[in-house]
Amino acid sequence: MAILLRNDNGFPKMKRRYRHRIADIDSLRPTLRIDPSRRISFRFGMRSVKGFHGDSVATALYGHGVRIFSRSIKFRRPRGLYSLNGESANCLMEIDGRPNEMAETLLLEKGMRVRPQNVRFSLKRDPSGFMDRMDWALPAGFYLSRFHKPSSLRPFFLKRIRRAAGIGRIDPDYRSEAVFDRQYIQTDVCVIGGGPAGMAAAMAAAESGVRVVLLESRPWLGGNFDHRTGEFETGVNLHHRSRSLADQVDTASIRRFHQTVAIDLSEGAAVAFRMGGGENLFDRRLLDIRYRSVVVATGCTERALLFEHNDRPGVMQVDCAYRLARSYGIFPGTAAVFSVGHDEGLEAAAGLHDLGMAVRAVADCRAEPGDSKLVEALSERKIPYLSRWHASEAKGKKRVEGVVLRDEKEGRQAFGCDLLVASAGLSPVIGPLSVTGAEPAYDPETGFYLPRSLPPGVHMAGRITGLTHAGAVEASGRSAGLRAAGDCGASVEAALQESEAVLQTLPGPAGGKTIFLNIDKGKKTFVCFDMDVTVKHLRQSVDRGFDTPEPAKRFTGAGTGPGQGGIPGPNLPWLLARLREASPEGTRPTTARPPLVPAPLAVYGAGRIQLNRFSPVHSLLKEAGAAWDDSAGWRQAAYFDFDPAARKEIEAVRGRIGIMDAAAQGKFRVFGPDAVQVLERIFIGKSADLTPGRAKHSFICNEYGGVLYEAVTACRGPEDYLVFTAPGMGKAVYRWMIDHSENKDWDYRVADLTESLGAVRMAGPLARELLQGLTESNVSNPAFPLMGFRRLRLMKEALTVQALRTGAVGEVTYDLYMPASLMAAAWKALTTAGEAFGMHPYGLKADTLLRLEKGRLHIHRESENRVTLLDLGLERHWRRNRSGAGKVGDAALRHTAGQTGRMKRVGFRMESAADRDRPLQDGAIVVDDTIRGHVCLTRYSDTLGEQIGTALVAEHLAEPGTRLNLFEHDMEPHQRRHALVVPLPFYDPDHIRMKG
Amino acid sequence: MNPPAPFPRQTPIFFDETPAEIEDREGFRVVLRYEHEGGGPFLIDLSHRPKWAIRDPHLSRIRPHGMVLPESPEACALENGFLLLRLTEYHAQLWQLFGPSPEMPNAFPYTDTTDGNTLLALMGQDIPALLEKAAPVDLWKPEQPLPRMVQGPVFDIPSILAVLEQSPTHSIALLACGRSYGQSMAENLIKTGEGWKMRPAGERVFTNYGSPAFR
Amino acid sequence: MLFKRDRRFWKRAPLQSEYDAIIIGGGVHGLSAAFFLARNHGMKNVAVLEKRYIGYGGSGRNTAIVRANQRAPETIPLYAEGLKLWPRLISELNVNLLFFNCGVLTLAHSEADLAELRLAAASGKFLGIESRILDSRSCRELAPALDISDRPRHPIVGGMFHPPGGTLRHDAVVWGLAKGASRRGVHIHQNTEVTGIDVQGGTVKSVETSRGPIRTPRVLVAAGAWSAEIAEMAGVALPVRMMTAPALVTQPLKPFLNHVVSAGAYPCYTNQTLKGEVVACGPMVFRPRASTQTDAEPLQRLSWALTELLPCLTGVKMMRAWAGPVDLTPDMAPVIDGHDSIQGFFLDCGWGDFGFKSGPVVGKYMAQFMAEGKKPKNLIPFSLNRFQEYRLLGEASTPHGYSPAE
Repeated sequence: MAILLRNDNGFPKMKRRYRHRIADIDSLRPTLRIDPSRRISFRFGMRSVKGFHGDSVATALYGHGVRIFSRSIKFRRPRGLYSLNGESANCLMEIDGRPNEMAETLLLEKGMRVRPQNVRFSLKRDPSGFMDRMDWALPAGFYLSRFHKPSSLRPFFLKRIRRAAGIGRIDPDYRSEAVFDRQYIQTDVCVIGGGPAGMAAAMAAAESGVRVVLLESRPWLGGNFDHRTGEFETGVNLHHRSRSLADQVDTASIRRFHQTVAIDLSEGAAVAFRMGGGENLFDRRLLDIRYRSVVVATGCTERALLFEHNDRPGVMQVDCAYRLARSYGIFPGTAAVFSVGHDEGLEAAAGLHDLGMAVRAVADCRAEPGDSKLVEALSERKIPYLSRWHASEAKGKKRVEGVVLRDEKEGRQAFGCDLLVASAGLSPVIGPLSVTGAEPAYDPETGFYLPRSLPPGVHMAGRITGLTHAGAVEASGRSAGLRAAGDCGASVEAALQESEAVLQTLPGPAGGKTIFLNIDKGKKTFVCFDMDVTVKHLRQSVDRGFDTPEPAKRFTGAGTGPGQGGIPGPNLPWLLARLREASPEGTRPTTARPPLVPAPLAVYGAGRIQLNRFSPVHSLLKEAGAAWDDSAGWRQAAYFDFDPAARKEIEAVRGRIGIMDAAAQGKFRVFGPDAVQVLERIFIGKSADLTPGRAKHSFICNEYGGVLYEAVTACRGPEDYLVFTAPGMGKAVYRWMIDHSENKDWDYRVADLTESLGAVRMAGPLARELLQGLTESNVSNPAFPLMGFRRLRLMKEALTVQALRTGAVGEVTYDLYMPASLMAAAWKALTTAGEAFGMHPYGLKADTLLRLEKGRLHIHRESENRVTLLDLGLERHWRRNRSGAGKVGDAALRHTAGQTGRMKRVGFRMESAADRDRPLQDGAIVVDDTIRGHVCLTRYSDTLGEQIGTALVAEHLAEPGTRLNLFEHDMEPHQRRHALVVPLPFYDPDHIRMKG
Repeated sequence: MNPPAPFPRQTPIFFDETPAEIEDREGFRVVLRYEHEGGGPFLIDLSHRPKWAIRDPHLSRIRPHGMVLPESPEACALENGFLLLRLTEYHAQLWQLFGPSPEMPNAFPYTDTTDGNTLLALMGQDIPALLEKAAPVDLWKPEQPLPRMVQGPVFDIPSILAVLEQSPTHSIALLACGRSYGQSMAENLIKTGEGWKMRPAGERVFTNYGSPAFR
Repeated sequence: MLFKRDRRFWKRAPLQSEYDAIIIGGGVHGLSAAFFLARNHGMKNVAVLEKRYIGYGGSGRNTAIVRANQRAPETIPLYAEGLKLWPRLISELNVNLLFFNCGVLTLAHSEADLAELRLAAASGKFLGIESRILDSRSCRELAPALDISDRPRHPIVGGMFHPPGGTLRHDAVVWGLAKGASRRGVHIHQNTEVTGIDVQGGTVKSVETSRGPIRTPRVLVAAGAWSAEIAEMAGVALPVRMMTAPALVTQPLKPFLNHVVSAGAYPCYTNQTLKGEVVACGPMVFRPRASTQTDAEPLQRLSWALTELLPCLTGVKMMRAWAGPVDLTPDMAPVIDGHDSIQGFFLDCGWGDFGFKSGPVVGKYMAQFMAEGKKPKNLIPFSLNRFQEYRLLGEASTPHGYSPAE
């Protein structure tokens, strides 16, 4: 028993020596959640500390005698254990280098390194504690009227503000070793909350034959019953009942996930966060649950009791104090005063007394207890029960040393104590319901803010609905579980009727709750611990016009701290209603948003594996020394032989023959009677005149005439076309095709051959010679002209390909298409055959320059919103649609055809050779007195021996011969470089090489 | 024999393992067994297996190899070594899983999709748990008869999944996706299966399962 | 001094039956237009109508980043002027808007990205606003938490640093402007929903509201993502597409990130607030209507992107997430117009996710437009009929290509 001393104020002072863990720990066995035989040592700061298996970090520290866990953010007040549910930042600590870990809910592990955060010197003696006396300087929204005058000092102030910011510290080089992953779970019914109602719901649903998933945030099932000693029925305590329910759940076919909290809920899907470690293969896991029906049985938390210094270490909620004792075997204090507003407070007072703790008084802010037997129990134990009394002030500097109780009529009484168990009543945990879109409203029956109606497939059960009777809690769970199973098609009518009948006979929600609020002083009455928001701050907020929860939250910051709305949330609507003298009906609590419980970013982003797309010749290109580029998921060769300038590759294409992997091209077979309609609609050129064996290059425009994609369409036979898109564009073109033929009632089919066909491109002056050597067919220019499409048998008929002759890079070019499984062999055979011709593979870098030399459009670099197909100089690819309707982009092109003052695409070369020393870069701008355009693409061409490029410029600068003034980002403001507009293409303007 | 030797064909999958038994089949070099296959679960490349897409507005009239198409989309049937999967009202797929490959009419409405698809088999006790880490699809509905199929993403890639067998000790799932994703898909499945010691295996593990029942 | 009576930020006001101008939307744009109408043009009989509470929409749900490193030459001077306006507004409103001039670091993940950054940097420099191009190592020097290795999905190849950019406290901006407007006589009516706009003979006559009709000769639609619905009431169709942008905030950390970091390839942009929280905004998703509802998938994608960029954040916890409603035009540039087809009908919308930074400066010119009746020169490029004329602006680097079914 503690010895009481008197201090100067006349308040009794506790002696500092006390025992933290309950001596006869085995007597607690039925409810104990630690294993007293398994000690775990860990580090707290510099000290080595021991806890027990089953402890959370916070309980282990509390058992060790730690009372101050953190310093508050603004006033630097000492803060201690207040709840065990992670509702505030009070117990945020740095654990194993990870900042802001919730010590209340984190299971203790061997060797953990636990450190307090954001303190100077020590938790007990932090010199910045003087801030507590500076509250006059920090009214609500204080920053709005501070630190901006004089303006010259603003940078200084910002520096100071930043220095004060934040709680946890992170090292920029910190890398986590932990395994974060994701699991997808399919179920019929998902039950959130493993308390009595949740367990009953899960079992009822499972009995009716549907799949059930049960999520529980603690490491064990049982919820509110788990530690309680109240009577369930004669001879059976609540905790006995919870054990037997949990045993039943164990034997039922229910998938249980412990240490798992729902963080988001939407129609048919829940996101949950699961703690791992220990025997699990993961450390933290995201559960992506798809369900058909959900039961929310998350129960209640306690609504914080408001009084002066209600944040002192030593003030804690009922559930916290009682669970410390019964689940963890720790005396929360030596001498306690209770100031509560619900029956569980009375039950806990008697229970803690029975464990050997001194309970000096129990103040109940209600006029009547819910259950008069509990009052009798107190008087049997000679504990003073003070009805209508409440705590008005906690005494003590760094921790509670006494309390002043108050009654409106009878005045004040002071008690010495080192524990003040304070709670104003219960508040439902409706977050999971709110995020489904159910809007909470004031329910006068229970005094709760509860959703008036729930979306289909969403049910709630248990204490969240206001029920307090244990039997009723279970029965409501059962009913909800059955309804949920019914949503999934199980036949539940009979069982549901039965369960509803049982519920009818039991007490309903504890009605007519008076909402107790104590707002008289409020200077140090904390509504939100995390952001140090007091009643006074809220009064200021109301005065300034922020008088409803959402704006007040923004103005004061209440509920925006790490614990979010946990502590302030339930009080905020009441308080604001009271402060502006309105009724609570019209006030809505702030919107709950995911995550309902803070979850690591890596968990939220876990399992985001992105697969690469590989060409069938990927490994061959790798052997050839390819460097890679990523294009719409495809790994494509950018260049070879460590030469980003790709000189050898270009030389091969221009002088001999180059070979390129074209497997990433989109390839589609479009066929059927109306196939040509589809092509006519999406391509800006004319497709109807294609004859078998011919191909055509065409563009896809958007409705503004801008060029989106390019493709080659080859005609295979009547009503049968193949569409080949540029690499990586296949998916988009396919979607465009489908979307623009919707509701057209056209009879056509599309087969996606992108994956089935391999594609090899051979380009160069010797390409025909090589090809002719491989086939017996005639591939001479007249027999197989430009834009011809042929079926060829190669290499003594070992390989059949479909060959398309294009002019992509300005040389004789063949695209050879063959089954994808044969592409690697074909590539090998072609390269072997090509050796004699000096063939070389080439990649995207070379391709870009080769195409630039030829003046080909680079869609991603040159096409943009300001220019249409016509502005890009591609009018030859447009076939005006006489009817005007149907062709996407046609209207825009016709409208803009005669417009002046548009931007145009031009080719240019640098004016003087001196510029070679400092090559021009893409993105330079074209200027005169203002910005007139920009350089899209510019490269030094070895073939042409000069720097060439394309630009988008104002129309008046587009005439060949015009001198362009160029300005680059790294030039002096007055400097310019000069280029001359020249006609496109740069290389082989008469197309002799590719046509020949 | 005609003079031109057929070009060797390749599936999109390459396992960095030592093959112990190899068979040459229709141009594919099929690994029947790897040296260290372990005791399961197994990942088996079946991409060389013949596959066809069947597209027709009157799909139900078509009887591939005499098989009757399942009535509703997302249903499948296994017969004579063929798995017939109905994807939509107008689109079905036929995979030849066991036995020597037959001739398939190379004409409308059939399209040979052997080359366009990666086909993988996952076998072993922990396959349901393993796939829960890769695919948000409802594949293991206990009340639904076998074989069953779903379409959905695996690692965010559109795929077809089919279950041939499901029991507490042994499950078999098939996974088909686009060819180009194959290698990346297989590597990531192996990585996902690390916790269960999943290893690549040769085709025989799969055909042994099929032989008594389907040959 | 602290307990002086009636310290409301904006005064309660009776709803009159007639105003000289009605501004629909109590966000940054609407409030600044109101403020400048009263301040610069002496138009004090002005009402701002807000359906919920001021700052409810995009103004209170953005990441409060301000910058002028735009692509289109038409917008750069506007944003640049906007940047210079903040410090003056702070003094003038006598409200600390917490303008933190930390600079914006935009990352490039490909050669094409780099070209775009060079274009933006050159354009800025030519027009007198600073940006400089960096290699990846210099990026890391500015933001040591950046992973510049090859490990991330989109490796960093370089970047652009834009020193004049920074962040503000978005709520303070809204409240400050409300305060300034209210002090000058503007009426701010919250919980007042506009239900109709009465146009007769091509001229605006009145506005129907949930609290009755109000006569007025001038209406400004500045309702952010809800503007299309409002404009529809006057028979004006806006070519906008509704999106929501997911955003998240982590638990507060000691300062480790000194600049705004923006990575277009994911996309993800992020900064550390003056409270120490890391705020990030990510890939937008299509919505049929303006919405503030969050979606799980883009939020997960954003979290992943953030840990790819700044791997030290893997274990840091997301505290809260929300979604910002966004109205995107085909060219990503706003619609600013007035007196076009309807006399007295003004538009200031289609801002997409650029609305916050442009608020005060556009409000200033909008006020000039409304008061003088003549469109200021710098607003001309943003007229609505550019879409009919197919003269789109160059704010985006690629042509818009969404399918009709989307």
